[in-house]
Amino acid sequence: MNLKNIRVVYNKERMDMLRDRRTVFNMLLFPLIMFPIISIGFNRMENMFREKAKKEAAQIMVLGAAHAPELDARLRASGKFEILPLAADFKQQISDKKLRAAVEFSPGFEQALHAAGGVSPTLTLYFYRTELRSELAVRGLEELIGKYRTEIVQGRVVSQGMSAASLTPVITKEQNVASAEKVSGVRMGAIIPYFIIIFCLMGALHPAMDLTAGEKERGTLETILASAVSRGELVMGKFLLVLTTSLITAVISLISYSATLKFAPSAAARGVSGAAKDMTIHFSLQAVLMVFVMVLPLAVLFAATLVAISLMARSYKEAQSYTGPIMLAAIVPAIASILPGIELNPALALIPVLNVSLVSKELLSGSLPWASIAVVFISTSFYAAIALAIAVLQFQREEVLFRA
Amino acid sequence: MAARNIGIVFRKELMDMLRDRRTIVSSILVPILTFPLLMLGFGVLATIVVRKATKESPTVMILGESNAPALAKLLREDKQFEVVPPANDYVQRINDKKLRAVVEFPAGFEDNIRSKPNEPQTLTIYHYEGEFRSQNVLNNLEESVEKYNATVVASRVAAAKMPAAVLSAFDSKKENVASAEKVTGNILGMILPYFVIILCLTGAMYPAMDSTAGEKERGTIETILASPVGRTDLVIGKFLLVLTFSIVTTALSVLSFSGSVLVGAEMLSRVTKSFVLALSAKSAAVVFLMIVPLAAVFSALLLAISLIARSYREAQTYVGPLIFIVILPGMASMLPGIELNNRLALVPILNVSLVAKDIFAGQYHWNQIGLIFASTCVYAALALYVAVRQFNREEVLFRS
Repeated sequence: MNLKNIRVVYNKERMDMLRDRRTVFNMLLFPLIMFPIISIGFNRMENMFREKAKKEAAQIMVLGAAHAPELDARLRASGKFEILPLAADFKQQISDKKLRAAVEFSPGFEQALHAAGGVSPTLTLYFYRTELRSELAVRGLEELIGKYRTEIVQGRVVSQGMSAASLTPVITKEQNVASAEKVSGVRMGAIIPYFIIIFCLMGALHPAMDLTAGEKERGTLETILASAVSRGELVMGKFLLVLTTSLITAVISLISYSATLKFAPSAAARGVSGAAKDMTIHFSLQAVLMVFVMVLPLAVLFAATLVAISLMARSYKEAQSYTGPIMLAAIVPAIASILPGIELNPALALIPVLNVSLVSKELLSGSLPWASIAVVFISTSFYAAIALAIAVLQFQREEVLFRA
Repeated sequence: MAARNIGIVFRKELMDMLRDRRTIVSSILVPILTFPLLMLGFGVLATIVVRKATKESPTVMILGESNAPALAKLLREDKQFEVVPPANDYVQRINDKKLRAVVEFPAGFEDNIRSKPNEPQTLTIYHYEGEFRSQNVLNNLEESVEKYNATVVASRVAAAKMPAAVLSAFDSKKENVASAEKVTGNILGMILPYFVIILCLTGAMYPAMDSTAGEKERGTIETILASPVGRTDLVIGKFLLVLTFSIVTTALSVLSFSGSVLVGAEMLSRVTKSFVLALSAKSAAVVFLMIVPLAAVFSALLLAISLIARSYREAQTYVGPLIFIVILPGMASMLPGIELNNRLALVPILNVSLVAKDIFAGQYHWNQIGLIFASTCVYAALALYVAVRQFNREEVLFRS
């Protein structure tokens, strides 16, 4: 193999690529606009609706209000609820989302509360499980009722000569000991590796198909095979170009994502973590660089696999139908890292794609598990080498190159 | 316009399509296989994760154990936690996820509880904020402390010669009044409309590009234009083919999805027992009815757009962004708290997504269903009109 020849092939392919408007779009524009749209657009919208749903007074119905005049007055005064007149079909109305929830007081509710040592009265909350607004309304009701209950109990205890404080013997204090970097790491660390992996794959997809099946389609493959460049050099040149576009796409997506976080941190962070809490994002440059080191062999694996597979196709369109399933096969393990509670262990460190996304999650949360990093890096490099060997082998086989 | 001519164009395009292996793969095999494979993959992964999480009990450290022998004993006997001996580097170990949480009792904790009933005692739980397992342990520890609290309060009340019922004041019950169909339909209705809409679009994409830009690329468009078939017949024939593919792809995916969900629900019901899946044939039929005009909008729009391109690949470039335009309103069904009203019923795509959500949840607003059907039909007619016009413009057909 001759480095100069590889470079010639590489330069030729690069020139070819950049002439194509579609490549430029896929490589540069698409990852650039993706993040702002997804993270700001969708998440802000979701939050807007969630907040709106929270603020809106929920329509509720109070059954047996006469049995609990005080609690009924509190419900009316709270401003959180819009109390509708009684109707017999309240259950149906809740099911139809016309009514969010209903409270029912048993006969003589407050009377029983104030009569010392009587039976405990009952209240029932009716709601629609899984329906957001109904669940929110019930939560609001429970909060108000809980406060009322505490007051009643305190009043009873105090009247018997005990102090109100004696009802809470132990106060639990929660103390977070993880650094800010680690806290944002577990929140954002899950989603960032996923995006980098997907973009790595998407960046490699089009050039891999165009450089192999596309060349067959245009009838230029024979010409290039007849040139003085050897098969091995040809594959390496093509492969390196695919790798370059894959990495460029990944880098651009990362930059776009960081910029989104920087300029609209609250929207993006809220969307990803699901928490409305005010939070700052802390990522060290070192962690991000380490993630790139881990992604490098993965990009090699993707590029080589895609080149080997799309070489089998006779046309660009046929190549698309072969690479489609590959996309799916890569997305599933990449998503898996988002699942809460899945952590890196020696067995998982050997599963391609999943291992990189899990180790990146660790890296972004500020830990440096060197042993796992080494296992993941070496195993991915090993898979990448196999894929590259297969790609070179494919190029030696006439029945693959000239499939009829 | 002649129905016979349209039929001829349709049959010609259909034959063309079915000869292509990619069509079979992308519009039949992929939709059938996608959902079962995704389900299987996630199912297997989720089982592994859950099994592992339940098998290993999280590690907890107790500091100042001698200050609270009774509560510490309660924690040690709890099989949920694995209590490790105290060490000084606990903060580091929590950060490294080797230790999930630490409970610290101050000096004289239980003595003070016994001797000073009017002074609440404070214990501290150190944890890793946001980390899934650490949060779980924190919640479980707080629950245990709550239980301990309750026993202490009960004994204090008993010591003051009060009945235990004083503390509960009243019973409160929560009752779900929605039927099982509505409960699961509410969840299914969030995901399913989105998938159906996206599939509808992707199903139409390939045939639309192939029968316009593809024909240009193959140089066959001149031949077909020279035939006695009118332009309008040609467009409608092509349009009907694209529509057929879009609907077939969507129907197949929904069938395959329902199949895998049914099997998945079987498995789930063994675990959770309460999971009842209820997708009625009526809701599926009504949603299908809503989807047909939407598929027509997509088909006509894709035809009009890809006709501008000179080659199949150029067409892909133009059509690609369309996916993003469709995804956002399509996702509306996933947004919590957004509900259909008469104004939203006129917004294309969004309206179908929202009404499908309600239909899956067993709710039929017939006037809105009618409104959405009618408005989507109007949009479809408009898109089809644009497509016909495009086919009449030589500068679009023979762009150089």
